[in-house]
Amino acid sequence: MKTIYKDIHGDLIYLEEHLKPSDCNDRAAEISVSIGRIQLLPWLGYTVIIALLSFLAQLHTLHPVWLVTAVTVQLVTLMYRIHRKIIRETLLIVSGLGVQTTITYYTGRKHTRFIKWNKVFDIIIAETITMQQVLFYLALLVRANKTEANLKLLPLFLGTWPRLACLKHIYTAGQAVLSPNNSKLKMT
Amino acid sequence: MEEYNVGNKHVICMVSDFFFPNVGGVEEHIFQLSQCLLRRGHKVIVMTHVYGDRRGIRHMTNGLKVYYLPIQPFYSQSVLPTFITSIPLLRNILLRERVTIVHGHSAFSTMAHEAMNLARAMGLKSVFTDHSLFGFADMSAIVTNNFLALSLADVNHCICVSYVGKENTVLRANVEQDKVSVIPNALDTEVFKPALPKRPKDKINVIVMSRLQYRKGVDLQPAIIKYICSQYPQVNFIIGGDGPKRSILEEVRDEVGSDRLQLLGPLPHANVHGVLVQGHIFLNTSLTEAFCIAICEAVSSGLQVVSTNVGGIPEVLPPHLILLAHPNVESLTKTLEFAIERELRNVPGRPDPWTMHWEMKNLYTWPDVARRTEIVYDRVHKEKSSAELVKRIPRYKKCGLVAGWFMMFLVTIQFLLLKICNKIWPAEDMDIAPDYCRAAPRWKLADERMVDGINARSGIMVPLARRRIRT
Repeated sequence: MKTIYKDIHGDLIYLEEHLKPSDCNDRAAEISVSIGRIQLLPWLGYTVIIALLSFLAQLHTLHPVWLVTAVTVQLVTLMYRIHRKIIRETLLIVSGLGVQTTITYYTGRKHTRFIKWNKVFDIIIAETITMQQVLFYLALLVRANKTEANLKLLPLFLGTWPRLACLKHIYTAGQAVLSPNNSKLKMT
Repeated sequence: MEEYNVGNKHVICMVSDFFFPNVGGVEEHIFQLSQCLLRRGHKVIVMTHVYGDRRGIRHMTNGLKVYYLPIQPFYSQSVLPTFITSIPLLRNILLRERVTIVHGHSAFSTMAHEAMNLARAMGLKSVFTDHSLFGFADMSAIVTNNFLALSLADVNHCICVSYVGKENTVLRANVEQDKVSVIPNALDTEVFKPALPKRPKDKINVIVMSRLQYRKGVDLQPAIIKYICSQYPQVNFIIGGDGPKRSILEEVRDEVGSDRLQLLGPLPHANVHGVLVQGHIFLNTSLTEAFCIAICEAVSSGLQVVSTNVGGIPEVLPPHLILLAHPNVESLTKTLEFAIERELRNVPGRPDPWTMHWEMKNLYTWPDVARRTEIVYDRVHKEKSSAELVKRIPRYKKCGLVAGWFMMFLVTIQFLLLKICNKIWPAEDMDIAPDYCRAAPRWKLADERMVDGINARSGIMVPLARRRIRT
């Protein structure tokens, strides 16, 4: 079952609950956020426009070595962008075991991170200021050190940047597993 | 007083370059005013720039939300007045918090002016509080006055802290006088109580507490101190504060000895009372002052106050609580001698410290300030405000040929940038920040003015960090 939300750029993202806390007695939750299909048409459009512009600027009269270098640089950048493109982020919380975050890249590469249960303190929605806007993000509060009480923020879903409504959805599910007693917390 | 709608709740955005952890009159004013407004049911947020590692969004007492924006200060804690680069971020915050009134503080704060202007461009209301007086004669004053006139040409309402301040603002910033209100500063008299046992019995301490700069008349002090020290062996001076003029006082200290003149250096506001109660007489040598909160604190602590009669000082306190002198060495020395004699001989004219405290109590309270500011907000709220360029541009015509046209140009660019921002980051793609859920109040406020509610026990209106120091 997919729920449609928006990310901060206004594009659609899809939230999927593979495992609902209500189905397993608040023992576990698995939620993934994935971006929509990458649109090829705008890409083609931009390419055509840039090609036209470079023709108008008479770039093809340059020395071939320069042209080859430019094209190579462009290609390498493109490959890098595709390589780093995140299409899905998954958050799996299992009571008593820990929290696992999985990032799936466009190339199929996966990056997994696991935080032990005793290190996980809480899950929160926080705000951050960028140069142009103020954004909400979901973060895990992790005990950096067992002896001390100092906590570390571990931001989640930084590849998809869901909006607040989506974050609240994930937060409620996460809280249901992390602190089942207060799971009736009302979100305002 | 005109009637106003009590049920009217506003979302107020306080903007100033000066805020906690910086300390001073403006910072204190913003914090206390915000706390009282929150208590009256309004939503208040504060915008300021980063202070060291204090960045991002912080929540202070009672859910006061503070945005420490990533804009670097460039001169005496003010940000560079770029006017247009901060538009996207400020617009984002004003929209996501659904702000209705932008309240800028201090004429020196460039961020306040930028935010107020942007608010007008977005069709919101703006209020400006001026905390200081300016001259008219020197170069820097002329430049500042011109900039202020440009900024205040398009503001809904101005607030000054004293009648002298109002006069000053109306003259130098060319604002219509019915757009200017006078709301005095306030102080927490609960903190400033007399503590007579802490005073030395055989000595008389004269306290001076100010930023050590030209404006505060530090240049007058050496002559006074030298004369008094030579005439009265039992009179000592304690000077608190720091600033560019500290060196001339250090010279005096080397001359009269460190037991006669104590220099305490920079003093956090929480320790001010501890120093005040050690003294018998408070000396204020300011050359210009809109509303001197230091003398109020001293009177509330039961000290005799000797002050220059400049700016708003004569209107702040009733004449029997203060000894006024002209801002020159002879007059100040004479008045100070009079105060010392009164202290030594126990002349009947000298008011009792506790009587002074009781008289100061409830004279200037923060809830009262908040209530009066609220009236300004209600009035501003009813005003029609148009973000259209056609309406805004003519307001700058009175600012002179060059400056006026320059401002019109800037406002046009700002208008275009706002349009672009609306395209790139449309308002509907922006998350509205949830309101802070207020916990149930721990006590009932009997009086509508809340005077007793706040003054009763624990002196609540202190920033969290300061409270930690005290405990």
